Amino acid sequence: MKKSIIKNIIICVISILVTLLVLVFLNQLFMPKYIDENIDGRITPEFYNEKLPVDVLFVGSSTVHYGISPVVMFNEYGFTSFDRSNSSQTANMAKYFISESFIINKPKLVVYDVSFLRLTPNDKDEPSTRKAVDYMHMSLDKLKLVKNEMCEDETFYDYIFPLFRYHSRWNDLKTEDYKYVIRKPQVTSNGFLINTEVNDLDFIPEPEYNVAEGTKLDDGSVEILNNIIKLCKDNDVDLMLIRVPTNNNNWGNSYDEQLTSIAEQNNISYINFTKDINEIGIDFCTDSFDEGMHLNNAGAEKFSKYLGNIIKDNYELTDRRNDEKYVTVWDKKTEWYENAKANQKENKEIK
Amino acid sequence: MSFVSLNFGIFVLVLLLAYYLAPKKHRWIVLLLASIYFYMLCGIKYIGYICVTTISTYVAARVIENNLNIQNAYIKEHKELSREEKKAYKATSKKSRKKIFLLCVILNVGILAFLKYADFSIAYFNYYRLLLTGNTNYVNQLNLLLPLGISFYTFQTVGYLLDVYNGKSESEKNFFKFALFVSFFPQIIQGPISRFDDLKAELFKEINFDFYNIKSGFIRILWGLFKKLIIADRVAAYVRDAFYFYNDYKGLYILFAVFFYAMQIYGDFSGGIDITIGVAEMLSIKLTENFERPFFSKDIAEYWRRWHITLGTWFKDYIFYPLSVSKPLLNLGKKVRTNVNENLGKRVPLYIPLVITWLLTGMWHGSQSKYIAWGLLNCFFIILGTEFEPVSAALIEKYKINREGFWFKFYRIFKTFWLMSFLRSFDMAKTAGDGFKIIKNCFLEWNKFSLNTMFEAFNFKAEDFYLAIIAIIIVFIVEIIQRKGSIRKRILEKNAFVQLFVTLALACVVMIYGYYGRGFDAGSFIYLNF
Repeated sequence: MKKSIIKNIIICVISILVTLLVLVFLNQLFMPKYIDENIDGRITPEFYNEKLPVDVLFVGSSTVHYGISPVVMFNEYGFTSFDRSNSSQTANMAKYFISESFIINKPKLVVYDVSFLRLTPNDKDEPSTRKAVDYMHMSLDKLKLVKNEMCEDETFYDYIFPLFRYHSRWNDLKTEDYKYVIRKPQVTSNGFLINTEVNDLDFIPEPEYNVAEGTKLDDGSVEILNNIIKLCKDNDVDLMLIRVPTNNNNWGNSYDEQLTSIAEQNNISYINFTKDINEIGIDFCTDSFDEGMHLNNAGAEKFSKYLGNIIKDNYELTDRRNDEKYVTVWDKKTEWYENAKANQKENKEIK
Repeated sequence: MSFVSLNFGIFVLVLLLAYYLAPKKHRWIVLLLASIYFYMLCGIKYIGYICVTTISTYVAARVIENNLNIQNAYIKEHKELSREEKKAYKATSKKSRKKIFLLCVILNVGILAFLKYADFSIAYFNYYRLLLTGNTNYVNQLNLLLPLGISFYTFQTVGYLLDVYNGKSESEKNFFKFALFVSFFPQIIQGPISRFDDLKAELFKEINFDFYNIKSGFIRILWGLFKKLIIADRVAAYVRDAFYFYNDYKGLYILFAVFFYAMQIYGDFSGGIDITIGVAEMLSIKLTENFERPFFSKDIAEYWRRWHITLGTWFKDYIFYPLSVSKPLLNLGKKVRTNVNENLGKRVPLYIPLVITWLLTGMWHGSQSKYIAWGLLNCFFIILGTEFEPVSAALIEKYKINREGFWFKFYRIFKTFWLMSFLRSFDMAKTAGDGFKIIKNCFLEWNKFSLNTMFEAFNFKAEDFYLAIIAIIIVFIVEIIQRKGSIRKRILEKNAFVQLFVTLALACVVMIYGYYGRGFDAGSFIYLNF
């Protein structure tokens, strides 16, 4: 009698384990790998690989992961950082990324690119949410993010169990899907996406904001921004609001005024670096790969040095360039960064 | 709450836990609460209709039975009454029972008919008024929506009341137990239409938990999902569009649609029934089977004995038989036999109820003329089959065809399959006239067909087409094997790892190849609307 009970328990446990294993495998197989395309989807899982503390966390949209190079900042100023961004990152995404990072790798400073505050909390799109959430570890922040960011015709379970969403890829699975089921290669440099392409243009006009004077940011977005400010204050983490240089016209001077006012009220700083491109030395003709919308590698290096200097001067961050533990790790990161940059340039020349 | 949603899966999981943790005696209460919750989730505003049907049928059945008991007791007590007096008393008593019975049936069938046919009647009224008087002041349609499962629970309750009225069943004394019979959630969406005595025995039995039922029910659910999600929902968009453009794309385009529609409705309905029966089985409740491999039928009559079995037997027991043995029809038969023709006289009490039954079956499927035409065509072919049976027998004899031979059987199955598929295509036509045109178009312009055009014009992906075909072949193979006995039973006789492998493999196939989720146009169950 006892033997048969034990046997049944063993069978049940093995069955459950095998079922879970198969389901995990299928989830991993069918989820997009974000390796050859949409690689900003790999930023989140690579953030989890950071074993050493991250001093500065950059959050925001694609302008961040194309415009801020953590390797340059470490080598120039000695603080560690990570670009926890993704394309069209909404304010809610930023909020929950910040909140999650306070639990797993709490930074001393959060730098938030506010460009996408121009959207309302109702402006949601599945691809961006997918890239933000797909490889996010299970946490309360992930669940809240999904709940807030999923579109009306989506279901919550599809995010928790991605196979339900991606099963239709059965006929589109590529070699990389099988190859990278378990181990995935590094594709970002601490969240920074290297792009060495250069515009083939002689002149790019200065951005002319298309948002009418006097237009205010949506109340919902401002409320989320206030939540982010409170979250940082409650956790004793400094917050800096910025706009990475871009000649994207979807902005307004009134937004700058409103954000400056919010920043002053909360004793934090807000800088729209698009206004300082001359001082930074950025020329969108040579420092952008897409007519000024995003910086290329050259532009990112210039901007990272400029921004890093401001951060170093205004926030108390430890210079870790003398700490062997950090130097070893960041030397490897620098090597990877330089190799990736060289490879990209080389590939471009071959083409 | 759809049967093909994760919410439903979670609902069933929670229910299973609550059901088996509850004392055996009170498990039915858990089921009743779950059924009420399920119904409320599906549309709280319609709960009034099911309440009216439940209360009115419960009260009517109790009153009818009490009346019968009083009548029997009175006759027992008054042995001095003469035969005529007893007969007269019984007749008076029966009259009052009949009144209650009819009142209840009229109320419930009336609700169903009103909800189903009010807008149809208004449309016809407007049409004929315009035609005859030129009056363009249209009466507005009511745009009524059918409450979930109204056809199924109405049929179930009418059958129950008729059984109580005829003294075949005892009425249920416990109102809440009766309420569970009416609202039992797995079968409320699309049947099967259970008989009270059968379902009562299953719902209120007190048995121990048996893991076998969980496994067996789960495999049945997966098989239902396979048919629904991999076949029915995959071909649905093509079927819809091909029938819509039947004048532009003729020949094989429409013939494929006819074939796929037969498969769609089978996958959809029998798949849904598999889920229903599977869920009930997990609760250790055995429901009546509703399908028995209908596509292997050799004639239409057999097909209808194997398709939607419970509806067929309902119509047979409560419409066809009572009509065929009713006095007016028997008398009419006699008259025809004496005055016209012996053979015709024999057929009158058989064919008139058959026509009425099929007319009602057609009307049950929908209020449009196409459904009535569909019902009558089915009836026509059944009668044709019966009438030509001697001719067929003579031909078989003459040409020495082996009735038991493979090819003869294959021919009959093939013929029945396509005949039923063509008749089914009336569902997808706008009018009965269109239904005939669709069938005609199947045989035109075959030379213009190309698979690539089919894929491009109908946005029907090649991989979906081939996958649907493979899945249909799998279903046919499984059904051939099923003829030798339950496959599930055989799987569950094997060791635990074989069971796990088969279950997991089936679950993975459904999860991967199922046509569900965002970006898919997966529909609800077709029979939900009937």
